[in-house]
Amino acid sequence: MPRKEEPPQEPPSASTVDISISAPALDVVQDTLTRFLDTASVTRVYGEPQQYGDTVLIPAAEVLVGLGFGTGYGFGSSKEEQATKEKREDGWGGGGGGGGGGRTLSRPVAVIVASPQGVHIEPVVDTTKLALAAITAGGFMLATLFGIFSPKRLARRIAGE
Amino acid sequence: MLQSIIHTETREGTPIPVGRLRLIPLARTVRLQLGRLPLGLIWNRPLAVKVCTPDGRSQVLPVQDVTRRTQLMLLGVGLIGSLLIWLARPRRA
Repeated sequence: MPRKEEPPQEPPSASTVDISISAPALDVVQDTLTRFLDTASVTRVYGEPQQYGDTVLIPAAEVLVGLGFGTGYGFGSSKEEQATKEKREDGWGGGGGGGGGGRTLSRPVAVIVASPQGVHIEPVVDTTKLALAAITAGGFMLATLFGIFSPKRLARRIAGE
Repeated sequence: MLQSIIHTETREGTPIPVGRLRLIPLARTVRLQLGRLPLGLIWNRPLAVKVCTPDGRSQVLPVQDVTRRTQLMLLGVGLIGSLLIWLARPRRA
């Protein structure tokens, strides 16, 4: 029986190919976005009140959340096909992908102390951060001093005089 | 333009009963959304605590970030100090 030749098919295009994301992947993205928007809640900033006798302590923290997503897809044909201008189904291909990333940073800021004597706020001081800031500030000034009074510069100045 | 990128809002939390007082936590949310790009940033920080007494009076206690303030102050001192040292450098006659 003679084989019936099939007419050449049109190459797939971005509009004809189903590039919908599979349901589990969509769920993950949806869940991540929901959680991301959920961070803009007061409950993320203030912790659960802790009772110690007559005193209630409420921790307060700063929360920073960053999130990014990206997707992409592409289609193309083989070099042979491009050269012959034949449109065959097996000479075309396409692919897509996506990815995302995020980061959450949290830092204690203060503790709210509520007792029968009244309510006051105790700040939380991060000495490590302050020490690093002090070292950086000192480094700036020392670098400027070394820049002005470096041995090379001093020697040039003396020679110039 | 900037308002469409940066959204700021103050949110009130659920009141916390402490004895006869009611504490209402307040938080400031800064949301950064770059147009239609699929990326964003949310910065949440405690703003204040509103203390409500049974007789209807209320007092707002601000939550101060001492670490951040001191950190910025130290970095400012470093930058200004460097600038002053540079300006006071000995120059050639």
